[in-house]
Amino acid sequence: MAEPAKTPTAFEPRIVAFLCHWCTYTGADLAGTTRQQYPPNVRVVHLMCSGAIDVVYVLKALMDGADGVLIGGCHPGDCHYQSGNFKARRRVAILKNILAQLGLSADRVWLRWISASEGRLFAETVREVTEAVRAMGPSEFKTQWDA
Amino acid sequence: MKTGALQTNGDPLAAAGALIRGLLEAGVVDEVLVPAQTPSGAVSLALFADPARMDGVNPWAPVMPVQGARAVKDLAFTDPGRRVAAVLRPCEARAVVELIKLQQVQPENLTFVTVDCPGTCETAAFHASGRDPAETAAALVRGMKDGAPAPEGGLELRTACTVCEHPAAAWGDLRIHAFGADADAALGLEAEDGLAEALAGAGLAAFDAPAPGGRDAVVERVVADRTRARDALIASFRDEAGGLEGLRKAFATCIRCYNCMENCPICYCKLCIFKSPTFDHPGDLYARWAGRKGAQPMPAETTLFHLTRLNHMSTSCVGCGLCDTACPMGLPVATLFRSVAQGVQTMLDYAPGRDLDDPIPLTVFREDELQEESGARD
Amino acid sequence: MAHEAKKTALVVGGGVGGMQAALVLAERGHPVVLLEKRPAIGGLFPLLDNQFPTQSCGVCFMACDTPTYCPFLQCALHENVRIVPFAAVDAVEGEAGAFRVTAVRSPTCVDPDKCTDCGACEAACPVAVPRAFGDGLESRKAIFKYYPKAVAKGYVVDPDACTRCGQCVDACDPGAIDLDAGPEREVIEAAAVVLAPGADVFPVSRKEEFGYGRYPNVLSAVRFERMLAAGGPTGGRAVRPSDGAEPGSLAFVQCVGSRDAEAGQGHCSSVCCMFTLKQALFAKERHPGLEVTVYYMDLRAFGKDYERYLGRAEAAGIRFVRAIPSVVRQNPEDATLTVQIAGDGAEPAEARHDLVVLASGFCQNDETRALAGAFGVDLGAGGFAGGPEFAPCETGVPGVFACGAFREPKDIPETTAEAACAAGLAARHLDPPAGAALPDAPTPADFRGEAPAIGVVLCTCEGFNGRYADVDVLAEAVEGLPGVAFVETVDHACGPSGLDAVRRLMGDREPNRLVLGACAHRIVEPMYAHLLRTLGVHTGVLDVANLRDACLVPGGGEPAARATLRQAVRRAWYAGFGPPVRETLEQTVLVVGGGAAGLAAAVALADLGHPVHLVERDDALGGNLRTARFTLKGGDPQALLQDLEGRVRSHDRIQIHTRSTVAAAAGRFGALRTEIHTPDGPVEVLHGAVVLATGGGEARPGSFGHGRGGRVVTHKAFEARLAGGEPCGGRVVMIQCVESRTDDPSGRPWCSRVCCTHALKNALRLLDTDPDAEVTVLYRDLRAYGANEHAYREARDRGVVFVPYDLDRPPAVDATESGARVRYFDPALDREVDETADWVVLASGIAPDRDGNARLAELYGVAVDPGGFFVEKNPKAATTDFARKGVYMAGLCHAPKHIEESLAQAGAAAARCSAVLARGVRRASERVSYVVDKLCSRCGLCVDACPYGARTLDMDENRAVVDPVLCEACGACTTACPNQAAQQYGSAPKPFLLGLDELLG
Repeated sequence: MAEPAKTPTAFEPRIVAFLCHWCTYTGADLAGTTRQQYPPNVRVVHLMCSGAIDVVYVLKALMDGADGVLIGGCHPGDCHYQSGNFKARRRVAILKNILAQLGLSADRVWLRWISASEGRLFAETVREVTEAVRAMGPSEFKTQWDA
Repeated sequence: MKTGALQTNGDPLAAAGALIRGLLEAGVVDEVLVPAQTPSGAVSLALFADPARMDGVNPWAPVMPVQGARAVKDLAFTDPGRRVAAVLRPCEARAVVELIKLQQVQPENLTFVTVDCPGTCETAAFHASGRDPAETAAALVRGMKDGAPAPEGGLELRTACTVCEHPAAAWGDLRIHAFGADADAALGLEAEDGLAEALAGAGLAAFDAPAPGGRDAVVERVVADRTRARDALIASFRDEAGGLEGLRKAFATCIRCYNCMENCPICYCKLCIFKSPTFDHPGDLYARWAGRKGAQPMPAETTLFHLTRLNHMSTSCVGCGLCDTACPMGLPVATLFRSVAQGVQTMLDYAPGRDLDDPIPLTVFREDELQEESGARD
Repeated sequence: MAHEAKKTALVVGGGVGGMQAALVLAERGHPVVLLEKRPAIGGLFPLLDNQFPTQSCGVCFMACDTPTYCPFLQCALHENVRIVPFAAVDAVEGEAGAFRVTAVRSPTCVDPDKCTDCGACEAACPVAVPRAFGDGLESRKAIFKYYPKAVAKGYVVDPDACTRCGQCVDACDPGAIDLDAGPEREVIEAAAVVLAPGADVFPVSRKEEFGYGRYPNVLSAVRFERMLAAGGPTGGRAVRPSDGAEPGSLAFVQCVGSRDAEAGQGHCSSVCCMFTLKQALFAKERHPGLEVTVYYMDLRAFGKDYERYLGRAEAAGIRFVRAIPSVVRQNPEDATLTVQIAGDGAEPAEARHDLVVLASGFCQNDETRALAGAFGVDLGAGGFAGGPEFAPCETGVPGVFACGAFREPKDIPETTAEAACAAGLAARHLDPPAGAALPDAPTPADFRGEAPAIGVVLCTCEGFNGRYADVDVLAEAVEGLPGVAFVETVDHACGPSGLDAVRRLMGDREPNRLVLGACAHRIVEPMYAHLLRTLGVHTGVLDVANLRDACLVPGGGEPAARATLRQAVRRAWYAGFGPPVRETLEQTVLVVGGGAAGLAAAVALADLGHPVHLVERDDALGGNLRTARFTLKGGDPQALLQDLEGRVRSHDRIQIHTRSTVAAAAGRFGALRTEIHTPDGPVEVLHGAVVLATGGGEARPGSFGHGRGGRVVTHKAFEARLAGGEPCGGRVVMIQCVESRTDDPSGRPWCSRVCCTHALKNALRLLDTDPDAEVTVLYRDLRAYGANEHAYREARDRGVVFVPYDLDRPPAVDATESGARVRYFDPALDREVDETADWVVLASGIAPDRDGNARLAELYGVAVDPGGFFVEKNPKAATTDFARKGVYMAGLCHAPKHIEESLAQAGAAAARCSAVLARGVRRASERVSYVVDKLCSRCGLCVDACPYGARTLDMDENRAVVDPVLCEACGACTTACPNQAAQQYGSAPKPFLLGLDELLG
């Protein structure tokens, strides 16, 4: 069952996932119960709606130790609060636009629509995010302490 | 809107001053908010109730110590119940438009007078130069006939003004046009129909003659020059401040005085989240962070503060540059914000201050927009 | 069971219709037994990842009130719903008010109280058989869950496949499996019954010419749907089963088992055109290079917004070929398939495809026939229950109601509407719900001001938490955290033993916070919230740490589990909840519009106990009914009008305001205040909800010479002539889709659904009165859905000529005094036809009252679409609801539909409205949002962000205010507010950040 032991110096990215209650969180749960394999790097924050994710939380996570942030919401049309996902998308777009303009790693922030039935997609997404962030290396906010 | 002309008889400042004072004298409004030279000789925004106090009125004062939109907000956060005219530069007017959308200004009893703006100098530098504000202003207004004039006597415009592509009065109940005008003969006017009638009736201005011509071409040229300058500034700033390394260097001396925020017309929060209990952490948290990274700068979360402020206000940032003026450490706050805001506003196709009917970007969305953000390809 | 007679309703069938009926009844306060023949509820629904035309799921909007979530779960968790799965009706005794229904439950062989859902049994089982769910696309074990996302603890042993080897029994640590379990009989006492057994999918192997079962690359629509499922065996990719390769060319064959009288399937199955479009669009999206061809007879995209969906499919490059193949052959060399078409008189043509999907229709099976027989319900000639046209959902048997595909093949929107309607009818046989008479639960202990004493309870369940994480390590990780009073473990937190243990801990140790480290929120949160309520403890003290998902990750779960638990404990220190808010709901309902839908809604609401104010603009009631003379199915609209009007006028709970309009409206759900302008002056009505039934009508055409000469008329005018016995025979040309189904927004870009049926009824009635009449119908797609297909066949048999036309070659009419000259292209003759007609009848479609609807939308804060129809909360699951709570719709103002469909929707609107109002009170969410006054700048961003109108600005006090009853606790306001003056109980920023920091450590 156990994966091969990692050497102590190997970089294991820390991913914080903000997941909406109705879709992605339930999709993550389905990934678990249907035994989808995905890397253990993700730490989940449960929220009622992707529209309730304040950018300050995302920035805070990135600055205090996360190497990547995944935001998961319902597919367009499926938001339980009508339009939280669309609002989240604008907010994330602004955040990433700002980070990118400042030459910061905007690609450490991921927004994905994953429904309650897409356990496999959740697992795939976590794999994709983890590998992409692993390739980027540790967050510059971690390596440069005065940031 | 009606167009007209304001005869200046060789003294544009006096003519504009008389027009503004006339609003009060003719009973169009009860008070007037306008920049003026105070008895001490400094330039300040002042709310005038008595026309007799209005000798020093100077809508083109060469400095902008405070953002007029903040003063308008102070006056009209709740409906003042009195008719007030506010004389504003375009950047102040655009900030007022944003504040009206954000319910921070109740405009029902306000009359907005806007002026074509030649730009302003840094307040401290101007006062140190010992020059006369009225003389400098008059020279600037005269210079606007052919474009964007430089101030006399080796003074420089503020960086924000040199890259301001909104120098023309484009909103307001009464707009005083100086670009392209022979300021010693007449300035152009544009006024809401009712106001035009009142002004004409009081003999303050004439709206039956056509406005002086040639303004559009001058404005177009100034905007083109400024836009080029803006793009050059943004490009060079990105080269310098790009990446965390550059950002850290640029802001290494930030002392977290919050002056940038306090002087920003768009930062309207009663209490900033960074001064609220949310960021009043238990002491052991700092120790945890230090433990995690090996060291922790104190005060903490300075970069977070700037990044969060960017997220909160860059959609509505009008580029007035008062954050630069306010920064005691001389950090390029305005350049950073202006640069980032440009990108955000372009992405969202939003121009702050353009139109009261353009909704604040975070209150709306389109279902088919920004699909690449959620992983859609092509 | 403890359900008393007169209280309980029985719902048979746990598909979309059954779940909807059960939820409406349960939410209204009635105990419901939901009987399902399969091991899990859901019916066909779990197959569908996405739906047309939304391209999303959306069934989670099925519940009447919020919170609303996946109906499988909501039924499973609702305290008024008892699901009896794997059970069939054996015998029925009694009558309305007192049925005794004997059900036989097949053994699942797995004790749900012991099962931890760990899956060891399934892994151990050596037997593999094809999984019926998904039509055998994948295999399953003999011990299995009916479908992969079945409600937790859904394991069941398939007695036919099981070899009784006992390996699962050995693998099951908790000893939950008993292979010797036998069937059980249970007598269910119920006062009313809703039959929602649905219909079967036609076994396409019966159409041998298409090769299903012989050729691996021929798929049934069900199998292909499973293939497109993101969670399915191919992960949503289309593949050729013969070699696993990606197909280059995909073809759909429509009407397999539909419109096929020879196969005993004379009806149209109503949904296949649309699910084919959906499957085609998804296949194209996942495989952009894929060539997709649809072989069809008529594209029946007749539902709301379906026409636009069809346009989307056309724009995506899907090829439509108007011909049904005669045979499909496999080419042995590469397993590709050759589809042969024999068009009308045209030369046979062939095309090669990699995959062929057979769009299987609906049929009825023996089990359903037996069920109908047991209840004495007649199945009509077509094998479907049908029922009286103008009494939708009634079966002729008192106390027994029906809905969904059991009545006639139909789509989900009609099924959910009928299900809610049937539930409303059933509710009239039940004791009224206790509603407001229920005593309020005692105010829970308010711990604010007390020092936190956090009780941490960790589930040791071997199925999950114990697998990859050491519970002792987890306990150690939180023992020293501030506020922690104790850390205890329980076994099996989601079972009765775990609940009991926690109940004891709450009593003995008296913590004022509870952190439960166990499974997912949706599983344990409702159970423990219930436990806390029974203990008189506020549920706001509960915080769940989902350790299961973290612990399921091999080789790394423990750190994640530790961090997740610490996060919850940090948050718990600051636990908070809103003050108890409880508001009485006004029981009166305002109904706007006195046509068929408005009258039916008024009667239904009044019968359900609600005082009703009915507002009608005209001086007479009836709307379109007043001029409707006959229907295709033979109903008499005048008799219906008389009946409805009589019931409305004699009902002592209904107050009628004719020649009246809504002038102003204020307030919100539960407490609306509407001013009605009546001839006697303004009347103010206090009401809890409003049903908008403003109708619509036949659009007046401006083309084809209508109104010139008097011989070019609409279907409605022609109907009146026919009914009045006026001469209208001779040569009649009917032109369908007039000013409809085009991009021209000044016309009617939608399909009006009813016009094809109107053409058939007028043509047949004309032939009844004048057998020599010659009728030609110029149409684009003949949308005679469901049982109307029988009439289409009859019309053709009786000599009506149907000629299809294309938009690029439309017919032309020159009207004269005595008739008209009509020119059109006839593809069968392959030439232009130029003839004179005595009558030209135009199908001009249905248009809503655009201006009136816009005005009402403004008054009640709801939305209208560009065509002027009202916009429903969800086009599949909640067609009667608006996004705005307390506002409902029914009839033509929602979308064009037949009278019987309007009546069903009106019944649904009434039932769904009553389900929310009848409880009498509404409480605010415990996670309600609030305003920190000293931070609030009253900028209004939170007001704009709130989808529920729960926030307003107080311009005197200079702050935002929250209506806690309207707040759904979504948190949109908290992020809209730049300085977190908008906060929410249960996720205030400070604990949130402290918790977040634990995840980063």
